[in-house]
Amino acid sequence: MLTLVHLVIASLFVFPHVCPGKYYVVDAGYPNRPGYLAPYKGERYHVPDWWRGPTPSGEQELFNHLHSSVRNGVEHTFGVWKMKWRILLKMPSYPLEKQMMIVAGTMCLHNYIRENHALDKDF
Amino acid sequence: MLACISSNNLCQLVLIPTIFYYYYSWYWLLLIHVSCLNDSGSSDADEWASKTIELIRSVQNNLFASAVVAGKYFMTYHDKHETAMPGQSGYGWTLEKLNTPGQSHKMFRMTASVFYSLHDLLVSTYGLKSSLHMNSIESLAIFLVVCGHGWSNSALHGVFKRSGETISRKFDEVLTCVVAMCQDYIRPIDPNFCTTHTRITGDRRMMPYFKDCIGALDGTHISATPSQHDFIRYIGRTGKATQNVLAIVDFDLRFTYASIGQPGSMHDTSVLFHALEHDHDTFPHPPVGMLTYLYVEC
Repeated sequence: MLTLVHLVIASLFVFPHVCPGKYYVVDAGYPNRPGYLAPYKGERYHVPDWWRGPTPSGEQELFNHLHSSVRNGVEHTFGVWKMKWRILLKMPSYPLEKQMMIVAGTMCLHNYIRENHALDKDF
Repeated sequence: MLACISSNNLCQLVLIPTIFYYYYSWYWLLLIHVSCLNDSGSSDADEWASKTIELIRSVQNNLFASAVVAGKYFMTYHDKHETAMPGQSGYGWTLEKLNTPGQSHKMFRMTASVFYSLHDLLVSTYGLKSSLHMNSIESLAIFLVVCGHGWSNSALHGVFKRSGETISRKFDEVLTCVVAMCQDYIRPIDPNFCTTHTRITGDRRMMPYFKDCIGALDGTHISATPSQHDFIRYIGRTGKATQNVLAIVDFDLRFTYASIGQPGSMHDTSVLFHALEHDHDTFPHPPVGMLTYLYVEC
């Protein structure tokens, strides 16, 4: 039953494979490979790092600064999504497949609001 | 009909059979006595005494059992509070929130106009239906309140004046409709990624260098409550049971892909590889070139 529901839910989403030459930006936890651009390791990366120290200097630091700026959107989106749909912070003890459906459903509502009311004050 | 019986009637209902049974048992006692006397001269007093004691005990046990049953029956079906007289129905509450400026956003996490358009979309395209006793606006409101605030069934019972079973069932119905929306809403706006987003083109620091960037991919942990035997797999780095959700977000802050349901102990990279492998099998027609690309890289 679980696998069936999992497949149904998973098949709703088709992984948008990257076209040659295009890429997603990822954080340092992911491998740096074609299609996925990770930052330089060992350099300053996170936004609070830039507040503390001097302005970015050097190629790698400059790159990391821009990279974190591009990737800011995904963190912002996760933050808005989790705070808007509070059920995600403390999931009730539903069956596991229903919990997955709730996660998918709230993502869908997030996109719907974003598309139809971009001026929503939570964004 | 049972609900109409007052507590006085109930006393009669319970007491009369009990008293009847009590005397009825004495009648049996008498019969045994007579039969013992008739039996013979072998009628010894010991046998009669033991039978009598046995009977009296069984009568006592039966009396006790019937008292327990009667008590439970009374407490379940008759000892009730006064009937609640709701000042406002759940539908009335929903309409009040929708019509009060600002309240709709607080309760349903969206403005009233977006609420109505979402409702119309769900009804027209994704099969949300009204039932005899609850219309679709109220069921959508229940769903949004649960998702937006994480209220429990008891809290919703107080607000919507519906039983827990009704609320749970309606939540499931709307959830099914909303999940059906996913395939049309969680996707890239332009699947070929032909144009560079204005957020990149409008920023002169990034324009030439990040022009091929089509979004950001990241994982996050969402709390989960797995079953007892699965619990260990779901404990991630936060120390709580979570599920690892991998998502791709474009520059419009929309989700374009999500891989849901991997246990929290799984590493982000493993989730990505799982998503790639899984969709590699189910993706119907990958464009030529991309297939090779992925094969080489995987």
